[in-house]
Amino acid sequence: MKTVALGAAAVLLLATLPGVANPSLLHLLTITFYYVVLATSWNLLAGMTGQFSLATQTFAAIGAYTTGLTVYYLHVPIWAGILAAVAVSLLCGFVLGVLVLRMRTIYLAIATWAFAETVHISLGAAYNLTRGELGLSVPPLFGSLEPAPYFEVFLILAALATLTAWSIARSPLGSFMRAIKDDELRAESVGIDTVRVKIFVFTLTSGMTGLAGAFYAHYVAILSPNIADFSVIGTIITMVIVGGIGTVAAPLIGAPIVETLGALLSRYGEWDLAIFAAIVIVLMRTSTGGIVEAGRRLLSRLRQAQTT
Amino acid sequence: MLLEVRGVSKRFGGLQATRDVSLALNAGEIRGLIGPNGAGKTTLANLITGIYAPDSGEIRLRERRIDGARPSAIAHRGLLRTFQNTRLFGNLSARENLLVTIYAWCGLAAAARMRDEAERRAAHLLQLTRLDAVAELPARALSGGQRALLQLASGFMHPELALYVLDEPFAGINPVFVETILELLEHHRKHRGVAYLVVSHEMEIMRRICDRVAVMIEGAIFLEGSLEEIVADEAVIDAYLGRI
Ligand SMILES: Nc1ncnc2c1ncn2[C@@H]1O[C@H](COP(=O)(O)OP(=O)(O)O)[C@@H](O)[C@H]1O
Ligand SMILES: [Mg+2]
Repeated sequence: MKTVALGAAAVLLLATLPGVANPSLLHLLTITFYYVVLATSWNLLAGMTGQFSLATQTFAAIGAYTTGLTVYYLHVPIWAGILAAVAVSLLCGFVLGVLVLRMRTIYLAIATWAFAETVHISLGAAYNLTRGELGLSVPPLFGSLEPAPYFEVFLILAALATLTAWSIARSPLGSFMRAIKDDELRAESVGIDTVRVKIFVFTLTSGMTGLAGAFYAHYVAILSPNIADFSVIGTIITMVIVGGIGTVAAPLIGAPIVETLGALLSRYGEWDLAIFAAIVIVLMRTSTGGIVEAGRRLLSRLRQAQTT
Repeated sequence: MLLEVRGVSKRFGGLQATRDVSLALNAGEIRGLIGPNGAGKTTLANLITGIYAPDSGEIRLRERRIDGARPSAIAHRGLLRTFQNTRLFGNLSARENLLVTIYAWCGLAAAARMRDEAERRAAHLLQLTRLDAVAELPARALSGGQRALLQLASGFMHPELALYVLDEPFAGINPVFVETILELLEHHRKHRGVAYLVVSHEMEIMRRICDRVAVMIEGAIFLEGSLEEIVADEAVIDAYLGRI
């Protein structure tokens, strides 16, 4: 309960930010919140359940293009487009979950990667429908592109995603997920219906990502296949690993660090992914608990060195 | 009849791991299963608990077919097992390792209602196994003996445990832990009629606890009887006991 109160206070405090912050900072934070949802989704799937999917960005794209296309071609209201986006993402997540059910880590990674690249390429190739790299124009959610109201929307999305992950992690479902990650055969043997749990997590996280992608479409207003770019999953994985894979707080710690770093590095060209990769390798070798854990260990080692 | 294995065979490539195995157990019975390494004892445990489906033959639990069913469905019906090389959820605490069994049995929808009962059972088992001091540690941090005890205890969390298949539960276990294990087995046999199929080489323990013992050699049940009858059988001595 204390954690929830603390989180709510943080959300309320952040909600007042548009009164003082400039638009470019608000934009950076809005994108950070978007990534918090995606990273939370991947963390639930890979970090907690051990299903190392490489298709999280694809579900954001599925959500984004579902609402973008239905609003553009069918002239449905935006809220209907977003609802359709969630429904389609849930369905695609369910189907993909069923297809990769029996696959072990590396095969699952390869299969989800193949799925991700197929969708990515198709979005560009079907330019008659999607307008490919030219971009599909999607009506902004609030009429204008002024970031303040979008900031609030993505703040709420990030808070809801985090709350979902937090409640799951504390529930018996969370134990089942971590049990499956630790030892799937034993999980089955003690009576956990691993098939149901895995499909459920696939479906839930896909819906969650699709929802974020749909709102993202109505924020960027020009939707291109970039949303499904493979570099996105690289960024997501970096965020979760920097924050401490498998912990609820990982995206909250990792997303701001990585997003800020990415913004700082962007003026030097495409170096960001290389640097992220280096960070991931160092962290994986030293501390799977993420940057906080690594810092804590370094401190205690320094302290030890001082006393001896 | 609690468990009925009838004519079960399983082949791995060119190797006939079990051939035409038949075995029957009553509720509350303790059956030993001995045999040299590679005889197919673990394979039989895997067949009974749904890890493999048999090539032929059938397996029934309380008259209902379970061969070909998934391990989780079999566990749900009250048939659990331990693994020869202790398997636990290493990143879950010792307490969570126990709780998972009961939540898996009752399902997520009923988990909230079962919570107090689950916690009570877990606390009781942690105390019996003297694991209460390490209850909050991740299971991977426990010693080998503690891990084996915890693996065994996790099965007793099942509210409708009927048959517990134990694959070499005493191998490499400190004698102090052995006594605790035996007390646990006897307690649950007496109070709720749990039956056991115990794979073990520990003849002294088998003599103490088993009603009957089956000898498995090269995939087949070679002989079944009391331990006295078995150790008196010359063919068994030749095939097995003579070797150790
Ligand atoms: N999954 C498997 N694939 C191939 N061979 C196996 C498999 N499991 C067991 N075996 C083989 O089956 C035989 C019986 O093994 P096992 O049942 O483990 O014997 P035991 O438990 O009596 O020592 C051994 O020769 C073993 O190598
Ligand atoms: Mg064995």
